[in-house]
Amino acid sequence: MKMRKLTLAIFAPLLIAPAIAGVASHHAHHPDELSGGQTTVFVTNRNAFASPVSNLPVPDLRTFASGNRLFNTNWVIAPASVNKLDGLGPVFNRVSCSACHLRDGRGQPPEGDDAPMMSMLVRLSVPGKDERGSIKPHPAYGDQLNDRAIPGVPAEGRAVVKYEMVSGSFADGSTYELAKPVYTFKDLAFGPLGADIQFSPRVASQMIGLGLLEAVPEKDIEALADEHDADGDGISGKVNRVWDVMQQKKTLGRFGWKANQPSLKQQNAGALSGDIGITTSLFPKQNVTDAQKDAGKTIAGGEPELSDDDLSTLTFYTRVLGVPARRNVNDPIVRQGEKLFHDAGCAKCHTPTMQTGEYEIAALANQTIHPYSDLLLHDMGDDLADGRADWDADGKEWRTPPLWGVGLFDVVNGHTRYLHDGRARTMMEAVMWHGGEGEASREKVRKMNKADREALIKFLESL
Amino acid sequence: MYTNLLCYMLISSSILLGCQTSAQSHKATATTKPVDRAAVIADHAKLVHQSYADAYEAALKLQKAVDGFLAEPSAKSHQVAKSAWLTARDPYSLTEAFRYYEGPIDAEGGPEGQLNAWPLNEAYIDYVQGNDKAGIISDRNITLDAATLAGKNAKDDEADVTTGYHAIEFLLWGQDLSLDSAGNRPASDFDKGDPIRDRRRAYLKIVTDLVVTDLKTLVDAWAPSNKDNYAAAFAKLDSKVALSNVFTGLASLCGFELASERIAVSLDSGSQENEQSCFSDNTHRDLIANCQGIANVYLGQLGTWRGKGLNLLVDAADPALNKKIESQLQTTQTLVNALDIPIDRVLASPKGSDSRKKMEALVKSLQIQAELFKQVGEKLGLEVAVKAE
Repeated sequence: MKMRKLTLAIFAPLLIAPAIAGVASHHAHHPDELSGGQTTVFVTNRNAFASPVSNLPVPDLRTFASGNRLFNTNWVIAPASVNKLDGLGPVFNRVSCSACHLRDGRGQPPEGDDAPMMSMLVRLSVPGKDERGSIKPHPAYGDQLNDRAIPGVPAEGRAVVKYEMVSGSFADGSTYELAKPVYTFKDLAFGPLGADIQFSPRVASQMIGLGLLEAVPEKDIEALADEHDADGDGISGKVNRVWDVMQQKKTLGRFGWKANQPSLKQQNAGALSGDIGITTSLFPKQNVTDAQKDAGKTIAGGEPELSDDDLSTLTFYTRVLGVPARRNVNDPIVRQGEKLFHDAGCAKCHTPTMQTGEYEIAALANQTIHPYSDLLLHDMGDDLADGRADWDADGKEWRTPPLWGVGLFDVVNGHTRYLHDGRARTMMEAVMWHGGEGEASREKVRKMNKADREALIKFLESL
Repeated sequence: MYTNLLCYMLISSSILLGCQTSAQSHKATATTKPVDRAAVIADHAKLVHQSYADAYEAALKLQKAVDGFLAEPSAKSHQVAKSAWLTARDPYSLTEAFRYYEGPIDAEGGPEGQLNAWPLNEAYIDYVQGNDKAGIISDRNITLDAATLAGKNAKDDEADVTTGYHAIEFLLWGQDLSLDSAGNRPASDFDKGDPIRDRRRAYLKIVTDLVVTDLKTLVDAWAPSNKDNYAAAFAKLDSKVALSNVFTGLASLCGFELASERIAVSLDSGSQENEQSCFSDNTHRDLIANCQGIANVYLGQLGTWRGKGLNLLVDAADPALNKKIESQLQTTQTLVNALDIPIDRVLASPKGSDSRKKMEALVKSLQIQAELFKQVGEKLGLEVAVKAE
């Protein structure tokens, strides 16, 4: 039967693609492609962040699949006769992990004026530290603005972002524009936030390679630190010492935009509590303040709402999402960009290579990985500051985010928004926002000619 | 049934290799005549084409039954439509063995998600218990056409499924709220003459037509006569690439999709939300056909048709490995056909129950199959991966 033209049009591009897709996986892998070492996955489509590490034993795929289901579960209000995964809220941001981390990917700021945050949240605090050294939550709004709530409970409020354009130019005279975000808060349920409010908007981070990062020995991260810039190179990476709930002591923090979580399990439990309103044995109290009296009366979905077994399954899943291989490593322009990356000093914080040590998941142990991060805190200057300290991180410090996967945000999540609040609309904008310890490198980029700037970006796109 | 198949297989392979029908002759013939990879690959392509053609024919019958139901909604025509859906599922489930290597079914822009995504958020499509105004059907601001529904499919949430077999299933059966039966949506939900029911009627027609259209593109992509389609490109692939793809499809379906996603996850969660055809209680048939589909590819068979299977290649390289695989396939067939049904009752049974043990045994068998297919990769110099997508 004759193929309809429409069908032909759909399939024409697929004629080449499938053949090449088959071939591409069969040439020997260049070591530079192996961002995750032997765990690297070779996927470049929208599932690039959603595959388990390629060396995961077949029986462990079961736990991965179960964890995936939990990650994608839409939590419902308690009591729910059909669904044991109940206990949503009473206040929350989204109803599932995957809602913000869509396809295990990267969040973005709201699209359009007054649009709701779909994959982003705002952390809150008031000045001061608690007895352990953590932030002081706002008395009514707590430590995070929950913009959604179950029926009968008021949502806390919502953030609205507008952008002021700031012009800049490169040494060769060509110009660029940076979008400086300005936040306002509306529909606040418990009155104004107060003049001393500290707030920090953050998009959801991509979920790849997290177990690998957890498997890097603490001493290796500490070895990269140079808090007082003893070597005088202008870089002063610092460890964040944070409270570990299970160990009941302070340990090295490595997860989160300010490295405020010491382990994936605690990060997950914290997110379940703060973002979805789900209790676990780590955080067994409902995430409500005294001001939220109505909320306190709502029914819990079990004690805790997510069992230890399920939290372990979910954590396993978050540990074993594979890092996708780099693309185009042999392209001469990418290679040139890589050299420029090093020449500009970017690698001093965006550390290209680390080793994982022993780890309870054997597949992730003893791997050579390329996260392009030192996992340390760095002062990024006034323009990027959120003014909100978090444990040992001050109001200008941010953890170096891993750059692996950054070239695939558009394929996986359909956008190109970078930095903690997604303000940068291109990679070059992200580079030009770098202040503080990053300023010297930024200025080197400013002085690059157009071809070099494009090569640098092409290198970043290969990650 | 399986013994006959084994018989057929022995006969056909010995005809190919030119000797008597006995197990011993396999060893002897391995050295007398090399197995032609190109011939096996060509027969595989024929198998794929015919499998999609069968699924397409059954979908046409489903379309006819749905049209009949919508023309004259009644308990009887409703039953006819439901039967046609059940009948259409087996041939589609056989084709899932062709996934996981970005062939026509799941290359970028391929129709897999549009055809068979699940689980689905029922409330995204239509009313549910506790919310009778839920879903696209109740929202008159949403245009009901193929482009809109396809555009919304799993857009912001994997489970916001709007199209495919399971959307049709949900429309025909409704939510399954009881362990004693499948969903029992009344035929009157599709009566003419009410704005919302008319939207439901339109929705059902659109998604049924989409399944037919999508399957047609797959049939055409694999049609042997066409010089420009995927089948033509597939025939030109280096044999290692083609075979790596085919075995990756098998290993991934066994080791991840079936063993983990479809069976183990549902066992671990105990929730019928995680069984594939939860509205119609037809999941056991999905599993049986998925397992059969794997055997079809390995042995080079479909219904009564016999071609040159992958088993010939494996047997030529490592007869012991081939024997293990054929034996494991038989074990899987036995186990999957012996499951207690319906599956939702198995999932609701307590941990350690006999019916759960039967499903666990099936999980193990499928995992072993996946490992064996990976071993084939090593023996034949192929790249065989268990993909989890």
